[in-house]
Formats: sequence, structure tokens, C-alpha cells
Amino acid sequence: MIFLPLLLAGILLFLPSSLNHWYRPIAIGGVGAQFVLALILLGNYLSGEGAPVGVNAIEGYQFVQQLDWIHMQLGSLGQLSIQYFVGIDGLNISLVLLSALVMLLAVYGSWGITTQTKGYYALMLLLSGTIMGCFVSLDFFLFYVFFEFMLLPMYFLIGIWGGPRREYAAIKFFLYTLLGSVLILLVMIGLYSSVIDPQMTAVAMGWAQDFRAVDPSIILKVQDALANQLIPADKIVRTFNMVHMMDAQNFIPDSIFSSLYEGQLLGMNFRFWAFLLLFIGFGIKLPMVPFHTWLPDAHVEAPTPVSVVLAGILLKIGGYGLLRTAYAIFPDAGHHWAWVVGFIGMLSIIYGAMNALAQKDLKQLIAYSSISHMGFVLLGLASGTAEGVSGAIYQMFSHGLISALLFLIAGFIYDRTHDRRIENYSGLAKKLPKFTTIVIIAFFASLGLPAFSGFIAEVFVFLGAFSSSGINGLLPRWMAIVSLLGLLLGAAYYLWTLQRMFFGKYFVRQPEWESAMVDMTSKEYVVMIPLVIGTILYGLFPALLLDLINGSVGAWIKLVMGA
Amino acid sequence: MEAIQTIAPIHPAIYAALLATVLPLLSFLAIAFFSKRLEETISDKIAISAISGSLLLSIYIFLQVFPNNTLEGNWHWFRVGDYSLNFGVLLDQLSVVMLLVVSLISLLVHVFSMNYMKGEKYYARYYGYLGLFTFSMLVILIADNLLLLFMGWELVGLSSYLLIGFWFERPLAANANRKAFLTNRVGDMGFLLGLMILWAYFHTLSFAELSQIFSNPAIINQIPEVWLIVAGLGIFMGTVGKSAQFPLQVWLPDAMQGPTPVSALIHAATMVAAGIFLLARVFPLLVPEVLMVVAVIGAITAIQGAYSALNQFDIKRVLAYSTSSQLGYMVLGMGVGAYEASLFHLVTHAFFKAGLFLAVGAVIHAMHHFQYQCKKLSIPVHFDPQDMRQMGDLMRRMPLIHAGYVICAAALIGLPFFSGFMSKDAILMASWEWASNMSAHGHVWAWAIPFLGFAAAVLTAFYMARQWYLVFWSKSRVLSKCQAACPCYDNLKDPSWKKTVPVGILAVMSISFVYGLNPFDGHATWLYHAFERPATVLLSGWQLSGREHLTFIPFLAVLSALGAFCMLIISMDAMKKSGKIMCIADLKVNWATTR
Repeated sequence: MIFLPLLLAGILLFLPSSLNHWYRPIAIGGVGAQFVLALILLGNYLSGEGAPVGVNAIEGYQFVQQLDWIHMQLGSLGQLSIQYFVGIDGLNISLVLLSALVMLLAVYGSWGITTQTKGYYALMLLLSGTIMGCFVSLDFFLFYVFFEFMLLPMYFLIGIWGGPRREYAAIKFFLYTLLGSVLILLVMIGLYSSVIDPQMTAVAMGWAQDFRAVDPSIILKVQDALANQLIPADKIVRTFNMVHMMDAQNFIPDSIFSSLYEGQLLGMNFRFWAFLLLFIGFGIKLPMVPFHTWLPDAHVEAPTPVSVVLAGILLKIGGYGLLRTAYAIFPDAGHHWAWVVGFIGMLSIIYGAMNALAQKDLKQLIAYSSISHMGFVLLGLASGTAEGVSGAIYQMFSHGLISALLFLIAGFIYDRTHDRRIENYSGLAKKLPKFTTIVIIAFFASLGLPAFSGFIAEVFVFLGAFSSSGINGLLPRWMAIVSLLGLLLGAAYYLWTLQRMFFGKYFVRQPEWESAMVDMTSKEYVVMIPLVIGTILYGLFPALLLDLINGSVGAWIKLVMGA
Repeated sequence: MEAIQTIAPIHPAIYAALLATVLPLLSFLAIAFFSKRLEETISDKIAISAISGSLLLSIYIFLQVFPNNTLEGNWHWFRVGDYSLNFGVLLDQLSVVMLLVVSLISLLVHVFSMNYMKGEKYYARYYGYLGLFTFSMLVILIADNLLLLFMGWELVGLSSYLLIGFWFERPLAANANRKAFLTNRVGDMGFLLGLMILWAYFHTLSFAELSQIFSNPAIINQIPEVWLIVAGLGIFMGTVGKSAQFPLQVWLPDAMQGPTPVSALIHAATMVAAGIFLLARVFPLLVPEVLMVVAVIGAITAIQGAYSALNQFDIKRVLAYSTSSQLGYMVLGMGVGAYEASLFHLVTHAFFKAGLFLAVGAVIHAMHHFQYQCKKLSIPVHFDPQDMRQMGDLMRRMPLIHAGYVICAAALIGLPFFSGFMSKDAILMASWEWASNMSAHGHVWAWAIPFLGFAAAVLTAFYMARQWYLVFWSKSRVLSKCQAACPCYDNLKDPSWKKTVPVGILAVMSISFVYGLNPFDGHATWLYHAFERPATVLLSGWQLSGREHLTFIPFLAVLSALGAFCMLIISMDAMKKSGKIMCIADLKVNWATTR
């Protein structure tokens, strides 16, 4: 599933240019196959009572592939183990499904790209594979490799096929994200030095033949030995395995990220620092205020399908990273920083929405609305309640669908006139009734109208954030109350845009645009309708998604909140 | 969605309710997808058959539930964390009566619109939107939990938005629908806050479970009172937005940019009344402090709306302010604990105000055609067909519409023998008793509430007399520009049955004998007795107008009837003599000169 698009990308590169009409079908075939695989995955995914839940138990993951990748003897520094370890649980199943769908639509929706199609489609396939890899990796090193590899195609996609200021936007995107990556890398190295793989260590100690044969009693034995410092240094197998990182027993007692380690930096212990670095690293990706400025630039310059992927999937990696690594590995620090995370979430909701109100460019408005909506993810995560975290995951999924649709809408206008300024249009509803219907659906879905998925997500986040003070005392109530303003502001900028662009007397700025104003084509229906159906489906039947994630969210809460 | 372990087998009426709700949605979808391929005019037939089906089902449900039954049925909807939410239907006296009212008025509006919207470019779309609206409104009525109700609540907001902006090319309409939606959103934020608080403390949003919790003092006393107050005020904010109460009443007059039948259905009879319905649903959750605020806001709105209505020239804006004012009465009624009276007024108001709007719609339509005909004959007339100053003399030209208008107006003014008299007086009497109870406990200010209520009643008589006079009685201003035999008068006559019959039915529903044999005592009607104020522990010891005291006070009935009647006579007399009464300032002057 990960490697199919990568493989096809490779093949594509070697195709001679005389076969250029094959590029697009191959790319579509690649992501299409990926989507089919994702659906098969979903069909075979177990959920409900008694189903495995994953999160911090390896045996709880489904569709696991665990292979040794790099294994080195480092003498007295112990042994290094990097695994190719992928698996699915309730935290990533929805995102896998989402990325497969959005990638398919984005690649199909790339008919506007006419230059250097070979490179474009190859990069899109590369992107598709790395994103998928990022979501399913359970080994931090593997995760990081995919995470970094994603940057590369994205940088070129914006930098080559983008708008007039594409170089600036691409560099800005690259620098911001790279800064985030460096912070994540720091933590990753620290974790590597702190965490052992109890399975592999058991093998190294000769207590088991193969790491698959290690049963819980042996793991306990290893952990016990570790706590009493009975394992010789050269037998310690250090690991990047995230699942092992989630168990405090696997931390080497005097390592910097161990909860027993007493050293401090600027008066704060290293676990708190680690969480903060991860938070900023993934927060840049999310993006959160005040690290959000790359996003509007990147969106404005990026071609439509790239924007769709950027908003629909890439931003979610930030939220997912917090969920999977920062909170799960450093739950104590998560408590410590909950207030800050919640506050930044609230700030992003309000500040993003305020900015959206002030935008003159339709795409920029949608970009800021993304910032506002991703704030809900932070707020939900920070609440540490089942409702809040489910809401955050739901919001990532729902925003993936809705923002993809919104960027397709911006692309619709741009395709016709190469201009997206709101003031240049008025009364489009008369000329483009079908398009306007889609726009109304998308805008109302995005402003959180019931019957659309965004509503369910936002309501859960609010319920969770508000309940938090009574359940675990992490977030004060006023944060949820102030965030309610986001709903009002969201309605304000969308309705105002509707009023300015679609209602009133028909008008377009340039006479020559007149002829370009044709309503929805069948291709455009094909990319937009699945998203419309998706957001309504998940808005009316939240159980479709919640049943998949409930078990894992419960396990996550148990892990992070210790309850 | 699989049905899981419902305690009793689900009553067929529950399915009937679901079907009644879904029918208009199906009509919306059918029109949305197929109307282009079929003839334009098929859409009204689809919509009308759907809503007729809903009405028949509502009658069936009513007969199943009405005497003293309550039906509930629910299905598992989703689970989040450790808590499940059900998706369910609750049918009690309140919802079945409202189901009847909404589906009946909706049907009448559908029929009326066949004529009113004839020849519109987006005729099919109009019927689609009406279906969407009726669906969402019925969701509110049958919902058994606050989340589902909130979903319907927002969806009526959407359909209201779409219908206000139906003529989206008019900048005013495009502005009005945004204003309406945003103003409602302000209220909805409060509503959502209320939901958050209830969820945080009780982890349920089902009405049945909430009222059980709230009837258990042991649980309630553990909850910090301030959060109960905030929750109550939050939910009431939802009402303030939806029901156009002070200070969020600003959107309703602008909403008159929508087609007039829509104003009748949504912005007079049903959607704006959803706020009152909500208050009734959450009544057991409201603490005394909240009810006090509710009463005060209601009284302010009642007087403010009535006063604003005096100064309008747009025929629809008068009625819009009047609606806001009448909703203020209902909110006031809820605040003083006159639960039954408030709901009774909700029903009577729905009928007579819808009747007024439809009658006025017929007038506007006729004026529009008059202007159109004049232009065709190149007679230079330019006027706003909604400006009352341009009308007049329509009593002779549209006698049937006039008759319907007069009956509904009499009900609104509160003249005896009409429905509004009984229901409004029941509220006023309750507020009187509440005030005397309150002042006995030291709250002398409470007398302001019934006083404002009476003042608003008197103003109501005045603004309706003014409208009646300007539209139907006075000498025609614009119309006199043409010769009597001019063909431009062709459309200034009673319209087809599609318009007169709905107005007629609504007028009949505004006569007091429909509700009870004694035309003076609202408490003696069957409808009043259908509603029963839920027992509430929060209010024990609170000086409500308790049921045991709530009696008919002849003195008050006579007073308000006389007040309304005198006001009517005085203003009509003054207007006839001066021939040009425009607003309240003119009244003072003219009254002085006539004496």
C-alpha cells in the first residue's frame, strides 16, 4: 500500500516522453489501487466490543508488519534496532482512509497540470506513498523518514507548478517545516538513547529465540532487570519503536527522558522539554498560531490539487503526531502543558477566524479557516477527555473532506479566470447555479452546520473541553466558552463571502471572463461529489467513524490520563 | 442503524412520526434531483402530496397520543467514550399538537404559494426549500434529545437563510439572510453552552433522562447553582435568537425580504415559535433566576415590538414587529410559569398570524400586479407595493381577503370571541398573579411585567387598527390615479381559491369557538388543558402563578377587552377624520383636534 505508489513513481520516471499520455492513467491507477487497498483494510478492520485496540499494546494493532530493518552492534553503547514496523489502530485508521480518498481525488483532479506532467505525477505518487507511510509507521525512525520525505515532493510541487510567488512560498514552507523536523529529531534522538526494546533485549540476553516469541512474563523480567540495572550495556537494545516508548518501564533508569531522571534544563525536566519540542514541531505542521504564516502563502501559490493534499492530509500529520508521539510517550508532560496546548488551540480558532474575515483572496480565506479549524484539534486533544479526543480525530477526518472540497472550489474559480479576488465577482449564483449549490454545501459544512461532519467534530470538542475541568482538571471552562466565538466568526466569514461573491447582481471584473463562466463540468462533479457525500454521511451517522476509534481512544485516555 | 433493546415494542405512531418528518425531506430531494428533467410545475405537486401525507400522519399520531398518552422510541445512534447517544422520537401532548399545527399551516402555505409564486424563475427550488424547512421543523418537534433538537434547530436556520435570500439578486435580501443567520448564531452559541454544561454534569441530553435527573433534589443540589443558571440562560439565548427576542430581535423585520408565504410559515407561525417550544421542553431545567430573566426579556420584547410596529410603513414589517411582540408574550408567559397559557398562545398565534401574513401577501401580490399592468399600459405609477401609504380602498375590491384579515386581526388585537383574546388574557392573568405573589415577597418591580403586557396589548390594538385602516379602509392614494374602468384594476380583486381558502381556514381557526364554548375564559379550552406544566423541583417554593390559583379573573378580561376595543375605536375614528394618520405622533395631534 505504501510502496505501490512509490514503485509506480519510479516506473513513471523511466517512461519515455513519447508515452506522456500514460502518465496520468498510471498515477490514477496507483492512487486508485491505494484507495481500494484502504477500503479492503477498512472492511477487515475489527472494531467494537473485544476488538483489539492498539495504542500502547503491540498485539492490539491490526495488519502489523514488523521486520528488522537496521540492527547494529555498537559495543558498549548497546545495540541499535530500527524496525520496519507498521500497523493500524483506531488512531490512524480514519486518516489512512482519508488520505487514500483525498489523494485519489487530487490526482484525478490534476487535469489542469499540463507542463512537465511526468515529474508532477511522479511526485504526487511519491507524496502519496510517504503520507501513507507516515500514518501507519509505528517506529519513530521510520515515521521520521517518511515525514521528511514528504517535504521533498511538496517543496517541488509548490516550487515548480505554483503561482507567481512560488519560490518564496516553497522556501518558506520548507524552512518552517524543517525547523519543526529538527525539533522532532532532537526528541527522537533523546528517546533513542532512553528506550530499550524489551523484546529484542530479551533475545540479546538469550531469554528468547526470536522477538516474536517473547511473552509478557519475559517482558516483565526484562523490565525488572532494567530497573535494577542488571542488563549489561552491550546487551541493551535501544529502539525507535513507539509502542515501547509508551511504556514507562522501558526507559533506562538514568536516561534523560526517564521519569526518574532528576536533571533539569532551565528548571524544567527533560520530559517536559521533549513534549514542548514535539508540540512546536508538530504544531508548525498543524499549523498553529503563531507558527501558521507559511500556510496561507503555500496555499495561495500551490496549484489546486496540491492545495487539496496540503489542507486535506498534510496538516493532519501534525495532529496525528501529537496524538501518537507527544501525548502517548510523555503523558505526564501532556498534563503539564495541557493549559498551553488548549490555549493555543483557542487562540488558533479565534485568530484564524478573525484573519479569515479580513481576507480578500478566496483561497487565503479558506487557508485561514483551516487554521481556525485545526485549532479545534488542539483544544480537543488538550482536554484529555474521550469526547474531546474523539472530536479531535473526527475533526481531522472531517476537515480533510471539507477543506479538500473548499480548495477544489477555489480552484474552480481560478481555472476559469485565473483570479480569486472576492471583490471581482458578484451574483455568481445566477450564472453558476450548480456550482453555487456545491459552494453553499461546502461553506455550511465548514461553518459547522448539523448534518455535516464538521458539526459532530466541533460539538464533541466543545463537550470534551468543557467537561475537562470536572473530569481531569486540565482545561479551564472559559477556554471552551471563548472558543464558541469561533462558530460565530466562522459563520460570519463564510456568509459574508457568499453574499459578496454569489448573491446580488451578477458581475465579473473583466469582460473576457464572461465566456469562461461555465457551470460544473462532469470532471468537476467527479471530484467534488464524493466529498459532499462523505461529509453528509459522516455528519448523519457519526457511528461510522466513532465505532472504529472508540476502543483506541479509550485505551489512549487510559494511557495518557492514567485512569 | 440497528434497533437495540428498546424496552417496549415501538408503537406504530413513532414510525408514523418518522415518516411524517421524512416525507418533506424526500420531496426536497426529489425536487433537487429530478425537477430539471420533469416539468417545472410538477414540483408543487410533489411537495403538496408530501406535506399532505405528513398532515394525515400527524392526525393519526394526534389521535393515538392526544388524550393522555406519551410515546417514546429510540435507537442507538452513536457512542463516544463511555456514553451512548440515542436517536429517538418523543411524542407527548406538546409535540403532537405542534405537529398538527406545523403540518397544517405548512400545507396551507404550500397551496397559497402555488398562486403567489406562479411564474417565478426558481419555482421548483422554492418548493424544495419549503420541504427542507418543514423537515427540519418536524425534527425539532419529534426530537427526544437536545442534540437532535439542536440539529433541527440549525437546519431550520439554514432553510430560513435560503428562503430569506430566495431572491438572491436583490442586495437587500442577500444582506437580510446573512443578518438573520448570524444573529441566530449568537443565540445558538448560548444554546451550545447550555448543552456543554448539561453534558459535563449529567452526560445525557435526553429530555426524559434530564427531567428525571432534575426531579431528584439529591443530584441537583450537588451541582453548583451558578452553572445551572448559566445553562438555563444559555439555552434561553437560543430562544432569544430564534424567537426574535430583545436584544436579538433585529433580524426579524429584515427577514421580510423573503417571499410573503415564507414569512407566514417560517417567520410568524412555526420557526420563530420553536424558541417557545424549546423553553417548554427544557422547562423542568430552568431555575427561578432564569425564569425571572425570561419574564423580563419577554415583557421588554412585547412592548418594544409593539411600539416599533407603530412606526412602520412597510405592510410586512408591521407584522414582523408584531410577531416579535407576540412572541414576547409567550416568553413572558413561560417566565411567569404560565406554561399552558404560553403554549396555547403559541398555537392561536400561529394560526392568526399566518392568516394575516397570507392575507397581506395576497394584497402585496395584487398591488404588484396593479403596478405591472399600469406599466404595461404606460400609466406612470411608481410605488413600493409593500408601502401601506400607497394602499387603501381594498375592502371593496378584495372582500374575501378582507374578511379573513379582519378575523385574524381581531384575534391578534385580542377582541372577545376570537382566539387571541383567550390565550393572551390567560398569559396576562398569570402574570398578574405572579406579580402579586412576587410583590408580596418584596419584589415590587414585578408589577412592571403585567403592566408592560397590558400596555403592549393596547398598542397592538392601535397598530392593527392603523394597518387595517391604511390598507383596506382609507381612500386609495395610488389607485385613484387611474380611471375606474382602467384594465389595470383587473388584478385588484379577490384572488383564486388557492389563496382565499388557506386564508379562510386560518381565519376559522382564529375564532374562539374552535377551542372552547366559553369565549371569555381561555382556561376552559381543551387545548389549554392538553398542556400540563411539568412538575419541577427547582421551582418549589418559588412564587409562580401556581396551578391552584390560576383562575379566570373576569375583571382583567373585561379590562383588556375594553382597552383593546376602545383603542380600536379611538384610532379608527381619529384616522377617519384626519384621513392621514401615519404614526403614533400623528395620533396625539389628531386626537386632540377631534376633541
